[in-house]
Amino acid sequence: MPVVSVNESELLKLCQTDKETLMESLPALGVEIDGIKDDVWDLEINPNRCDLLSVEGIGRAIRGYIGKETGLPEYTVERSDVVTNVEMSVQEVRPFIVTAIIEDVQLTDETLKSLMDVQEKLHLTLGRKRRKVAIGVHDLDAVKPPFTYKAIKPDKISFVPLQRTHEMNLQEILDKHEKGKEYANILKDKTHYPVIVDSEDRVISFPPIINGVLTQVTSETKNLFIDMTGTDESSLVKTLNILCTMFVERGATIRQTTVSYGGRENVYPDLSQRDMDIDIKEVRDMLGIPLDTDAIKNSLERMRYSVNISEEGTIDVKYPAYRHDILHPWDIIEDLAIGHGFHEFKGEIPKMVTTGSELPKKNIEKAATEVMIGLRFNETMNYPLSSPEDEYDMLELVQNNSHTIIENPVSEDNTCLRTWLLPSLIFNLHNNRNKPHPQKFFEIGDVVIDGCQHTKIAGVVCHSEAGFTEMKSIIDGLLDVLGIDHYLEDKRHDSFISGRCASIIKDEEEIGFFGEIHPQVLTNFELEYPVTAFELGIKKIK
Amino acid sequence: MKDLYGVSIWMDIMSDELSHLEKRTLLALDKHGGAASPSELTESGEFEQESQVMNAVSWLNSKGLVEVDEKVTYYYSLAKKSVGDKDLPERTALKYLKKAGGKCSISELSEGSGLGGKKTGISVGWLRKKKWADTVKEGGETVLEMTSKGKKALRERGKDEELIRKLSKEGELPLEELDEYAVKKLKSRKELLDEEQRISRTVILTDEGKKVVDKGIELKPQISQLTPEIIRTGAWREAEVRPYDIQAFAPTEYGGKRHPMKREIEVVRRVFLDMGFTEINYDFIQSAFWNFDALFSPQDHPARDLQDTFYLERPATVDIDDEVAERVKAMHENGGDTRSSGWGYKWSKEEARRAVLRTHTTVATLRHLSENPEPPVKAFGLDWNFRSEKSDATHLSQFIQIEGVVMEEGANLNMLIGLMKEFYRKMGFDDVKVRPSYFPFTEPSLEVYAKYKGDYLEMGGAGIFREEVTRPHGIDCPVLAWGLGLERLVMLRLGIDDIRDCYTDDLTFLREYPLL
Repeated sequence: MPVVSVNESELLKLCQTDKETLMESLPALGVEIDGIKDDVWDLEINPNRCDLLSVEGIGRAIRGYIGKETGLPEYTVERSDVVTNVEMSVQEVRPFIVTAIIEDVQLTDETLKSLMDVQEKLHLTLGRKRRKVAIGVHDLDAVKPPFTYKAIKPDKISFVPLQRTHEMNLQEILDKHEKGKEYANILKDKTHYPVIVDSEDRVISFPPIINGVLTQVTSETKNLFIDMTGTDESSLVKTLNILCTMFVERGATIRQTTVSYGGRENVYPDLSQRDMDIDIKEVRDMLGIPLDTDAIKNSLERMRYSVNISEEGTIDVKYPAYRHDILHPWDIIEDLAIGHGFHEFKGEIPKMVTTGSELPKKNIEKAATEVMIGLRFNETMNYPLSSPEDEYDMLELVQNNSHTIIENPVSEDNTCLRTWLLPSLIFNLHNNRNKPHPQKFFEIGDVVIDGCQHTKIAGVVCHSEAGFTEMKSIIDGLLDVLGIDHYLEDKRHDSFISGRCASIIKDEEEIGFFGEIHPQVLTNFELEYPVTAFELGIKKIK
Repeated sequence: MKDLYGVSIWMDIMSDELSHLEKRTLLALDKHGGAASPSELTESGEFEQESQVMNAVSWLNSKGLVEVDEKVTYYYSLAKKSVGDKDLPERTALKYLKKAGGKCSISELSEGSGLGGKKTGISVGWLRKKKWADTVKEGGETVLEMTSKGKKALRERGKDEELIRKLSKEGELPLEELDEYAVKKLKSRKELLDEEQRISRTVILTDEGKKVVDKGIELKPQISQLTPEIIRTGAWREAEVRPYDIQAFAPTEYGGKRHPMKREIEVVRRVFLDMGFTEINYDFIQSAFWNFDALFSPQDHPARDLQDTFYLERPATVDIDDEVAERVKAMHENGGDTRSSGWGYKWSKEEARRAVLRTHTTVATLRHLSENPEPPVKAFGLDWNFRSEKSDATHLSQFIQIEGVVMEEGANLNMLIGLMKEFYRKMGFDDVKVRPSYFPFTEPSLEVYAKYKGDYLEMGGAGIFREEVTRPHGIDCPVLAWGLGLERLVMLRLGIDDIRDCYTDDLTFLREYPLL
């Protein structure tokens, strides 16, 4: 989950409250305080609330929650004549662009840094690492609209990118610039790269990679031009709304701009409120606590909604444009519960009486466990992930294709699921090789062979006189107690000593095997005492 | 005296203040007239080892019933057998001197007597010490002249030589049977005598001891180990079982045990079974469809990245049901027949067919509901999940979730919170609170915190399944759902600091960890 670091004095100022209230209301709103160090608060934001990724957004929400400023924040926007023309060429690369103008911004070094932080967090979340949404912020007064958004061949145009003093063409930027290298994968296999140029064909941005120095924003900048390009228009709109309304919190004015797709014109941003109707009965059913209309209205207003409850019991809710997460009435009902306070839910137990039941295999597992513990085995619990080295090589087996393969393992030891339990159990003996003997371990666990999951029971016995006969006694005892008729047949298994390994057969089907582990295997595991072992399928037992 | 079964039987004596061994020692001592060595007592008292007598004597001594007289004796023997067979070097020299007419030079002695250089020197030294010969200088040579004492010595052996003869005959003798002066003289010479110091003990019955013996000592047959014969014949009725030193070392015995995690899993299972839940389980390998899409995670959701999810190369895909897939597709693209707007993107069935190791057991509960869409359903499961991250002290890439759902008419958020509180109360945490959270598949969503040592710790997530999740399976009732971390809970309950220790295979710990 994204974590934002905010300055304490900024936070207190924008939230219009004190530290103590904040420590209580932030978690109540679902914002976890990760840590407070010096005057910087690290706040963990739930990914559905990208409008809280800025200190301005947090302030707006907290002021509502603590009752300083409730209800819908309203935004007035005026139309500007700035137009961005979109050329067909971008369709194959990065088809959509939205834009906006922010006037009369008052930037300080502090707010500039905060702006860059928000931009980065939005890139990570809604932007899916710039693949879906990439944001450019420009000094509007440095360039001359109208703008053109087009895709061109990588070597056809050059400009001075941020963090450089000389001109580079698009390919050079991808190859040499830090940001180019970081995001080049987004433009992989594209023949044309997107750029935004002004009326004098000066490059202001090479999305989603980097802006030009031409429009670099400083604390002197008065008016901003925002561009957002990407692959999904609705995500662009949501992100634009979040960023624009954030500037309003700082006293800036938003001006709408036009994006022209060859005659079809879209105007951005649209900061008008959105509507949703909710049934009051649904609210009460879902939350399970008695809520009167005042409580409902009050709770929603604290969460920055405007509310109108009709006599028929319909709640007409209006919500602000920055709430990108509202897909369904239940999203608002959740906010209502948060506004009301989760601590108000005292809890009750479901009334429906049902009879519980265990998994059928638990019966066999429990009986087998009882027997094994009676035979002085200690139970172990090993992880399901393994590797072909541990599954085959260590056990002197030839690798086959029955194991799963993880496409993206994080360690060499964990590249597949276990295909049998004994490798882990022998590893348990290895880990305890310097402890007193005799040692006996067993485990009940799941393995996956050829994509199918099976439950197995396996055990190992290790001491100076461990031998086939002792294990045979154990197997006979275990299977007798579980009521399994069985007989034995010779088995060839490379992990076991030849002539000292048996197949356990029930109804002419092998349900398991046991024997004396081959000394080469013991050597592989650095064991100095003989080991006998068995493995049985639980489902096959029944 | 032995009885029929080879168990020694001893008749007689007084009170229980004396042990069996003590009684036997007193009786044996009395047989010897009140004084005997430990070895005599061992033999006549039929002890198995002399240490038993010594042990009993030390106790009897501390009770004032016996005294122990200790005497140190030196024993002597010849260092080598050859010492007794040969003359001393000075005797050999004397004999040669006689042969040479009572006078000869040292070099003549060395050559003529066969003593050799080294022994000649020794013999000359002793000839002079014993005054058997004098030395004089004659023409630059040292010449030996036999004395009258020497002549006398030719006829009789010296006391030291007598002693050698005696030891040669007797082997070993105590100092008191030997000439002390001769011993001292021979001791000063190398490689002739061996000396050994021996302590001889005599156990003596004191007057007090005598009184005890006179009163009579009753000795019951003693049994060190019950045998089937003793039990069957009832011989134990006439005997006493030898007491043990209860403080003596015995190795601690630990039987076989369940693994602590399995024990804890049983505790959790019991809670849900008691509340009427049905236990379920599904496979580790799932389609991305069931793991993500059916749970309304959009296909570009960060959780679906390779950094978070293990995708499989074999099997690479898992088949999904076309009908359910179509309905889920609609949820993602436009919300289908619900009031949801959906995520508004083009859903890919290919992406949904990718095989993954499930990242949460919510897959299992949803699949169970999909197969059982009629209320009421109360189900739970505890099983492995996988995330593609490195394990450390606070994270595991393989972990177990406590998963559960309640689907019934009228289920609501307040019930969900009540259930969470009830579960943790049963697990030993009375102070539980919930905070808002976010999961793509629940709305409302919450996180459960339990108070432990003054802090509220995050235990897991819960919520009500979104309509976009339940509708494709024809589920009309609200579904309360949760996925709680098992390891975190166990760490608090068992006081484990490093999450990896939950699955330890340390045999010492597995044998010795307390059950209560």
